[in-house]
Amino acid sequence: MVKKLILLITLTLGMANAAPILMLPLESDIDSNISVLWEKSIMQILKEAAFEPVKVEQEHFAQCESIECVISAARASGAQGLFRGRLKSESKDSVSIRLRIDWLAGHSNPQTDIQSVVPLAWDQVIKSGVILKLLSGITGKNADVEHTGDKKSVIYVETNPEHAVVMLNGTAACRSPCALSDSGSIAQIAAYWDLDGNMWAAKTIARLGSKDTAKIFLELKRSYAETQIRTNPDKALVFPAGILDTKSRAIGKTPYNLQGLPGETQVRLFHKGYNDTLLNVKIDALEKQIQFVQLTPITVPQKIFEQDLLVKSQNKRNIGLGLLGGSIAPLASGILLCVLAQDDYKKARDIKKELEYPSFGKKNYEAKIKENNKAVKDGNFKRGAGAGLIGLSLLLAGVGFTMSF
Amino acid sequence: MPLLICLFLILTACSDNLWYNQATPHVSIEVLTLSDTILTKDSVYFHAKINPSKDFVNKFYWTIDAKNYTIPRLEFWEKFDTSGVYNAAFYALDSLGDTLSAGLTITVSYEPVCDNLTYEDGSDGSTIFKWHCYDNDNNALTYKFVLKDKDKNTTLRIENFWKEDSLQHDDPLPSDWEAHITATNNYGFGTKDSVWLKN
Repeated sequence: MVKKLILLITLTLGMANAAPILMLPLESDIDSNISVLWEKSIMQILKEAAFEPVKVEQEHFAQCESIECVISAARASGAQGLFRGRLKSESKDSVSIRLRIDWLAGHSNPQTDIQSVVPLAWDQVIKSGVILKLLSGITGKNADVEHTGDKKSVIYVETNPEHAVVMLNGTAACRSPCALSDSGSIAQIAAYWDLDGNMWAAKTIARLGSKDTAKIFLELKRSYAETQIRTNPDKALVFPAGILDTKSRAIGKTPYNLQGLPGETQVRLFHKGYNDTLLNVKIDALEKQIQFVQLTPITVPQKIFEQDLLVKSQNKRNIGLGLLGGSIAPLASGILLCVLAQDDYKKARDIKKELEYPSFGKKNYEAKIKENNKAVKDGNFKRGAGAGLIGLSLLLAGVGFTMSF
Repeated sequence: MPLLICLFLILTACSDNLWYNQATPHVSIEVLTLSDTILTKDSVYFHAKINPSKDFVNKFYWTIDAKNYTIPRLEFWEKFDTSGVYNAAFYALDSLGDTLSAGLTITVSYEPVCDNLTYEDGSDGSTIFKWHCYDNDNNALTYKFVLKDKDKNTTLRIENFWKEDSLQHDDPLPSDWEAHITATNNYGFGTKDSVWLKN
C-alpha cells in the first residue's frame, strides 16, 4: 500500500514536469551487467525524449492476471506508457531482444515494438542500429542518420528440401526458396519443414556487413524442436494460454518439454501458493532450449483464497472424471457376467429338455438333474453379481458426472 | 433409482422355469419269457416289452450267454441243440445312457432212453424183468414200473425206485399181462413208456 502511494506521488509530480512511463523489470537470461546497461540506456533515451521513466516492480500489479489488466492499471495511474522487455541469449555472441512500449496517451501509435537479434557486444549493438529504431519508435520520427549498417541487405535463402518455412530472427517470413531483407548486421536465419509431426530444420547466423546481398543454403536435418520449461519451485502445472478456470486441463508439469513448430507460443504456469504466470516460450528450430522461470509467491490473501477454490474445484472435477472413468470397468464386467449367466441358463434349459424325455430315471438321470440345478444356480449368481456391478457403475457414473459438470 | 429398480427387475426375470423338478417320465421293461427247462432240439420264444414304447429307448437287445452274439429284437425263437444251463438277459439303454435289464434261465436237457427190455421166467413161477435205461448227461434216473392185467384192466403192481436195472415179480403173471417202465431224470424229463408184452 505504501509502495502504491509512493508511485502515485511520483507519477503526480512527474506529470507536472514530464510524461511518466512505467518500466517493468527487463526479463533477462544474459550477463546482468549487459542487462543493466540496456536498462540504463533505455531509461536515458526515454529521458532525452522528454519522458520520465519510472521503474516499477511486478508486485505493483499483483492483482492483475493479464497484461491487459496491467495496461489498464497503468493508464488509471496516469502513466503515458508502459515499457516491458526481454533479453534472451541466442548464442555466445548474440542476444534476442524484444522491447515493447504500450502507449497509453498522447502518441500516434498504440505500440512501439522492437524485435531483433543483436550482437552481445555493446559497440556492435550501437552499430546494428537497433537503438535508433527504439528512438524512432519513442519519438515517432525517423532517425535520419547515415549508418553503414543501415542499408537493408537482401538474403536469398535456399533449402533442401524446398518449400521449408524460413524464419528471420525468430519470425516466419516466407517459404524457400525466397528472399529476405534486413537492416541489421546480424540476421538469424532458420528453416524448418514439418510433416505429420516429424520435423527437419537448420539454422545459421548471417553476418551481413556491407554486402547488399547474401545467399544462404540450408541442408535440413532431422530435428526435435522443443523447449524445456523449468520453474522454481518445480512441479508447476502447465496450461495452454487462456483464462484459467475449473475446466482448464493441464498439459503437463514442470520440468515440461514443450514441443511444437519453431517460433513463439504462450503457456500459463500454475503452482499453488504462487502467482499464475503467462509465459512466452520460444521454440528453436534446431536446438533444445531451456527456459527457466522463477515463480513469485502470492502475498494477497484474497488471491490465496481464490487459488484454493480453484484447486478444490479442479480436484473435485478430477475426482468426478476419475469416477466416470472408473465406472467403465464395473459396467463392462457386469455386462460380461450377465452374458455368461445366459450361457448357464441355456445349459439349464437344454438339460431340462433332455430330462423331459422319458427315461429309466436312474443314475444318469439323477446326475442330469443335479447338473440342471447347478447351471441355474450358477446363472443366478452371475446375473446377480453382474446386476450389482452394473448398478455400481451407474452409481459411480452418476456421482462422477455430478462432480465433473 | 428408478433406473436401478428397472434394471434389477429386467435382470431378475424368471429363472424359476429353468429348474427341473417334475416327476420322472418313466420307461420300463418287461420280460415275458419265463425261466424254463426244455429238451434238446427244442426252441424257446424270447419276448420282451418296453413300456410305454420302444421309441423311448436308444437301444435294446437280448443276450444269451454261451452264444457270441446279441439279438437286437424284442421277440424271437431260439433253438437249443446242446444241453446246459443258459442265462438269457434283455437290455435297454435310454437317452441318458442308463441301462435296465432283466434275465431268465433256460435249462436244456436230454431225454432219458430205455432199451434192451427183457424178462425171464423163474423156476418158482416168478418173473424177472430187466431193462437198460440211461441219460446222455449222466443224470441220475428214477424209475416207475407198472404191471397190468390187460384182460381185467387192473394194475397188479406199481413200483418207484432208482438205480435198479431189474425187478422180480414173485406171483405168476396173468395170461395177458403188460409191464411198463419209465425212467425220469432230475429235470423231470422221462422216457416214453417202455413196454414188455407177453410174447
